[in-house]
Amino acid sequence: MSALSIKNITKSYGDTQILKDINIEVKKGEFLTLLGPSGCGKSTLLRIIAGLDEQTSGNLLIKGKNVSKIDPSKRNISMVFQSYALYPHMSVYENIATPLKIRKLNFIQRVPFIGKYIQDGERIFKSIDKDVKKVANKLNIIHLLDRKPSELSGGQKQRVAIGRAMVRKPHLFLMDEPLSNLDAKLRVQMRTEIAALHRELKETFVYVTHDQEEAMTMSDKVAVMMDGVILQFDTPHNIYTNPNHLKVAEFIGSPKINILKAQSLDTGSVTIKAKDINFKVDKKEKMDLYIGVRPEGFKVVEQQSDKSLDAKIEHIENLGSHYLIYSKMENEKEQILIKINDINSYKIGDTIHFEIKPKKVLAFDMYSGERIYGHK
Amino acid sequence: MDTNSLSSRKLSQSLLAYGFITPSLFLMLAIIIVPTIVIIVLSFTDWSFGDPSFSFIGFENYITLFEDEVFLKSLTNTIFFMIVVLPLSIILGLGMALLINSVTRGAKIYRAMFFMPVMASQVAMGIVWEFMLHPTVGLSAHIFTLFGYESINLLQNESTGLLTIAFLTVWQFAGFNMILFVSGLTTIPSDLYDAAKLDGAKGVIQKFYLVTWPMLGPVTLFIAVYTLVRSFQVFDYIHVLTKGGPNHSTELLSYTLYVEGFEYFRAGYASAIAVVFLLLTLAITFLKTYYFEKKVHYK
Repeated sequence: MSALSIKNITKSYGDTQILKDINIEVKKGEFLTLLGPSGCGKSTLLRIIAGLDEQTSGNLLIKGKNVSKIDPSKRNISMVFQSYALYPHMSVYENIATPLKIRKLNFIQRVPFIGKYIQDGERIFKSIDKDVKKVANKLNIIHLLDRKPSELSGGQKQRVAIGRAMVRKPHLFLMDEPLSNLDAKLRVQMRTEIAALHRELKETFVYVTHDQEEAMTMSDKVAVMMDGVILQFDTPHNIYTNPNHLKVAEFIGSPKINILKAQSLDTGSVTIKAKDINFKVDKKEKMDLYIGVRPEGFKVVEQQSDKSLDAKIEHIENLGSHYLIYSKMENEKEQILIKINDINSYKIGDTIHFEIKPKKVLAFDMYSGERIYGHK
Repeated sequence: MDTNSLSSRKLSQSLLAYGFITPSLFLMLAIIIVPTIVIIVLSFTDWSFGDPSFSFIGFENYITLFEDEVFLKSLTNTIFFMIVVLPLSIILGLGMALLINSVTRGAKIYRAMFFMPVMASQVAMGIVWEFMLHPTVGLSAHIFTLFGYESINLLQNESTGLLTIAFLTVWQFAGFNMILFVSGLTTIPSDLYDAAKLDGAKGVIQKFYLVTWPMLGPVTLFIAVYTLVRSFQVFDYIHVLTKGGPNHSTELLSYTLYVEGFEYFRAGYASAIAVVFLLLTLAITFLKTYYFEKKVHYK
């Protein structure tokens, strides 16, 4: 049984379709990332999962139960917001305790000061206190419990928001760009911490981000979204090495993938600038295509040959462990980025000869952007 | 740059700063501070308006004041008036703001309607209300007869006069408070409501207690102080409708001050009333700054 099934979800505002037939299955304990540029509909999808927005059509199942029409408070999910959305008038302790207090205490027990002594109030208050302190310990914020959110740094606020989400042990954690308000260093640190937390809690996470690095480093599964459609739903490894669409290939990977114009022959053989690159597409017909090659997909050769391409070096970046060579082929506008481990004697202005590793070739239809599969 | 020129630059900068504040400082002195000092000084004299001379009589004015039944009645009336006007105009203003905030159509029309009494002149509104509350031909008379009661003169009645004035004041203040609450409501981030929903808050009331009310804290405090100070200053209605009567039952401090100062020309005595008035306002401001301010501001 899936922890979360999204079935044929669509969302429109008037004539504008924000989400078009979204289908996703998430297993229990998986970390799913919704990745895409801003405006692709990923946050809308998350809000629909949370119940904060309603889908136009389609169904949503959490642990096999259809929650499409159920109030967010009853879905047993929690969410971490980009703005943290902590209650500014409450201390850290009260912020974390709030979801428990609302759920466990009745109206009379919530009355300040005296509520504690009514009915079973005292026992419930004690159990809440225990839970809050346990979570605070785990997140290393026990010393901050008396502070107000305004007295906390961004990273501390983030932890409190996660604590508030964790404390009632939901079926599903939703996170809406939780790291984007943090500085770069802290972002990397929190990334690791959230991933570790996920491993420890063994709960299902749905994480929204536009940052591919976060998606690649934290997730079990990534759904790449663009213009309201899921282009690819796969593991981070496959998304990088085996993208099924030109847009996915271009969106994932830093530095960006190189896109070269190519032609295929009746035999399926692919040529770039009339040179056979030792790759055959399965579709045996004459057509124009795009070939995507990541910077590490080139093999630099000493001598020009009938298989090698050449380009003029325009810029070299020394990144310590490797070099990035910015070069341009004759009569082309786009720069080609080649990653090499050894600079040898290359310098700006030289011509570099290279071949494309056939296993690293990704062929795409020039018009639809769909992947065209092939082999060596 | 050597230290000498640095300090001279600092000096010229602070001179420039003083230059900039001089005009407003002058105005503040001329309009607020000097008159206040003059009033305080006058309150220790027996000066009558127009008298060529006066003598200092110490605290005599204040002693008379607290033995004067009219003043004491006026003071209790004022406090009663504040106690009625403050919560009612806040609750009504907040209620209207919440309603206007929740309607999708016509919010602007409602806002303009409720705000109209704020812009109208109190004197003009007072005259209109006088007609409406007229014991034989007014709207109130018709309503009384409709429900089978005998019409009474709401204004010229010791037990209803002050309440009626308070009602008119609430009617006017609530619109202003509503506008402030509406702007306060728009500053509440919608994320907080989303978080409250996921935390389990169900229905309007829980969300109100968890998010809306605490987030309106600063605005509410401002409104409370402003309403209190303005309810001190209510004068026009009384002047137009009741002249403080019957039997001083609708007399507020501001009106007593006017009668003593500008009808009996007892400037020294009126100044003493003004000082009491000032002390009450100051007390409210202090309470606001040193106690409530810390409770409602979270940043």
